[in-house]
Amino acid sequence: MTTGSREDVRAGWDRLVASAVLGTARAPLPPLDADGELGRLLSLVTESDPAERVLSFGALLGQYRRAGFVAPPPIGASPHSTPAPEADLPPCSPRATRHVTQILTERPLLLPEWCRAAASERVRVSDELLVLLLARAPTEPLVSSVLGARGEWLARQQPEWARVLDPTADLEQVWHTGQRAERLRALRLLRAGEPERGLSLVTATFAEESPENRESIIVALSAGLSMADEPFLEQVLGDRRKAVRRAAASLLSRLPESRLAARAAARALPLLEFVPGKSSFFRKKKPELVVRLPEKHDPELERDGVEPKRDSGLGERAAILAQLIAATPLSAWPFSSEVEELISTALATEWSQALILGFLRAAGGQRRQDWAEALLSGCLGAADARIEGCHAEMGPALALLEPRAREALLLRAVEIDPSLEREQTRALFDAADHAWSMELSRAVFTALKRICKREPVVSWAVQNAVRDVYALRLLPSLHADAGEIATWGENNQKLVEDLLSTLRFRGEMLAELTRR
Amino acid sequence: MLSVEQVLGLAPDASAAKAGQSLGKANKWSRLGRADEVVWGEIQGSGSTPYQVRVDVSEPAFKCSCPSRKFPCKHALGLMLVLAENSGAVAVADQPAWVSEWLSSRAATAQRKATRAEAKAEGKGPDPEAQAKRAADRDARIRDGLDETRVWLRDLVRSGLAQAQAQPGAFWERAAARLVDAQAPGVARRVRELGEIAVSGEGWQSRLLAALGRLHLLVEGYARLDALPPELAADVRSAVGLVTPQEEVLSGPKLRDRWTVLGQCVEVDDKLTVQRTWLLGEASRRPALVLSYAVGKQPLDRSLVVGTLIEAELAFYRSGAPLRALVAARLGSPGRPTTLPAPWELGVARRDQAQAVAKNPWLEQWPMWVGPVMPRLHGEQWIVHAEGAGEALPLDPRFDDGWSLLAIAGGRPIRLFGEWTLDGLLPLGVACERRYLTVSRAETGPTLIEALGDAA
Repeated sequence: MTTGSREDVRAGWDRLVASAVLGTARAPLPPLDADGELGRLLSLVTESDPAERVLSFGALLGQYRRAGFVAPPPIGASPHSTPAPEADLPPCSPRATRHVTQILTERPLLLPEWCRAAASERVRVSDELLVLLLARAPTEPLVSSVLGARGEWLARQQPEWARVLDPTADLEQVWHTGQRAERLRALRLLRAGEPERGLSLVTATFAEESPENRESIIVALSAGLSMADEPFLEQVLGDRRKAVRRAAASLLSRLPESRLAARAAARALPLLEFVPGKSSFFRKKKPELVVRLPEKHDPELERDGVEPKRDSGLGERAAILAQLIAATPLSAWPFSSEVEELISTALATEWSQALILGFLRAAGGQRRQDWAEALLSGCLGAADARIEGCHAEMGPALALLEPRAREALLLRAVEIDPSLEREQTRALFDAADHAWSMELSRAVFTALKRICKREPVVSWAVQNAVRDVYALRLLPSLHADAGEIATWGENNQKLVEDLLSTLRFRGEMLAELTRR
Repeated sequence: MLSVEQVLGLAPDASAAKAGQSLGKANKWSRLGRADEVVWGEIQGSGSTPYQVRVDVSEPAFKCSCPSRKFPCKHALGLMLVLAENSGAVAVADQPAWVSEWLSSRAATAQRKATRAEAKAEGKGPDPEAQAKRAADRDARIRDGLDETRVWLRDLVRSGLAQAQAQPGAFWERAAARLVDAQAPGVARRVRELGEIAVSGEGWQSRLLAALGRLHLLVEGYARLDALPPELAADVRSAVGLVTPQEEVLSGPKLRDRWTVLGQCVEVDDKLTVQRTWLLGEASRRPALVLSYAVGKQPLDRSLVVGTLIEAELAFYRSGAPLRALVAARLGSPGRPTTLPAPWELGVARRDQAQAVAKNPWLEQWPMWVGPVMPRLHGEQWIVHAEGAGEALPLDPRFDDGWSLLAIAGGRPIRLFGEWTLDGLLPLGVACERRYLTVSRAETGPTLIEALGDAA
């Protein structure tokens, strides 16, 4: 080291460190000197013992380097230094920021509601929350509506986040090179925007996919499903794997014009004969429904995805009937103008479960609001009908309906099941993701109060429903009508506290967003 | 008047903060009232009689009749939150007896402390001869301990750093324990830290040699204590772990100024928790460090809140680069600053730091209030740099949320407060436009939270 220039100091330091690492017993200490003031200081080290010399030089040079540390300025432009757009949604208030923090740490189920409300008030999250929200964006699509221009600017700086903004970019790339989960996500996104492109990607590579992949890919095609997919899906009915065939058949049964639907209709139509009732001046003739169960085994049926053992709770032939009805286009039935009568008659037969299950599936898959409404109304009206096992299909049916129609059914459900215990009730409310009216909220709220007072311990299923559904959808203003917690009885205090505190919190968070 | 964020920042842990928030509604309280700087109220707890809660907002100081050991307890937090969010609910009223009693007992304690301090300063305290003997004994023990350390250091360098790195943890722990016995806790800590540096990953050799050099300086410095200039001697004593008594510091010259509390950092070392609170004087432009210690679960001092401005007299500990100080006297209650003090340019701040290190080689954190600077990711490392082709400073890798910093900056310059450590600048506060955000202590949630919030 001669001049004391930065490189020289660095080199001298490195030599010193190297000999310290080896130890002075092993390695000789290199000479250290420099020009100028530094040289003068170095010459002050006069210890004879090499270890002491290393320590003294270490102290001197170490401090010299520490005090003289200068980081080189960064070269080149960086997107981090390009200002984010000025024009932007205003950030939310500090109090709203606190609400979001609480949501992210303690009440994650409230995030969608907050985002929706903030987006409609044209407000974005504050800067300090952007990183946390971008982390949630892949699982919560509403987040992108509250990022604002600042959030989008930030997201563009990291490829992982940038995908949130423009999910369709490079999807083909991901499809060809990504991991399984990424590929499926990319396919679903592509199908949402450009279904034909998605289909062509799938058909090109389908033969080489592994069996597990094939099944998931078919399921992912449900987004953007149309008759354009029919030829391919019909082909997939010949797949070696049963699960793949089943998935394809499930999709095809949602397309009334598909060949599979036509085959199902051909098989199903002969099985049901319905003669509507006639009402004349003299007498009333009751409606008649004749049900013929299909033959048990038919290899063709299997190809079309019908599996006798699939619906537990139904005998094999009844299960086949249900599945055939599910795949038959509802418009194919000759009695489609007397739907309510058919349903009430079906509910009274011994085959009610198979029939209702089949029709519910058909209504859900074929997106027929009229049938959905009639079926649900009929089910709710028939107190003693045997329709256990149908509740799983009731949610998707309700989801087709407009809020007004939904609420009428939901109010009826509370009326006939005030304990909210039945699976049917829970299935319906689970699907009720629209904004509830005060009437419905009050009905449920009153029912809950009664339940909490009466039951020593509210059942696990209803407790979960309270936490996951009712607390999130009841109108928050009901919290003001709650009265003292004591009026809710002595049992179930924790559940009541959680419910009321969630309602209060939701009220506060929404009020803060609309406050000016 | 504290904001909601500042009140929540006083909470000893997350559960107290959460519980405090649920108690922060005026309708849960009865007999709310205030007079001058004192606020009080009663709240029903799980006991039969309601708890009586008092808060002196000028410090802040709290007293609650509940059995909780937490400090401040959730009731005190709740009362302060009511005040922060709904001050109209707390009307001016006559003090009930239980409030006046608390105030007078506090005044009495303060008076006792002051008298004791005076007595000590005048040498009228505990026997000065006994004190001198204790000091001499300790000095002898330290010298013996450091003599051992000197030999230990020499042997270490002889066998080499590679060999030292291969040693088990006990190697360093034993040496540190001997120094604790020798009543030199500051040296003990530095020896323990050598062990951590040895396993700190890439570049450990360079860092270890530098640390060994500083330790060597300290050992040699203590041996020559009498020959050193007084400021340097004070720094040696302080680094070795000899505490100057508060009375002595408080009897020295004081600096009166309006001090902005710019940042706070809490570190746990073994069972000892250290809280560093950084202040900056408006007129003097001098930084000050107020240290607070707590052992085990003891509460930390809460009297200085980040983002407030307080007029006070500070007494500085003697040092080549004076930094550590005690609050000798508060003049008025903490308030909300209308503007923050002007920051320094990066280059100027860096040079100030260099001067300080030159004067006190054992300095471990130097405060930096810099701006306008821009955060940027440079390879894998976050830095802040002046606009244009100006200087840059790396951020300490312990700060792991550079992206939030960038989100707040939005591509525009910010002002940054932090501690300059051996590994970079550790951010403790960010000013952007009219907001001041500090680094949060919570384990979940955002890394940076607003200091001033929406206080009315």
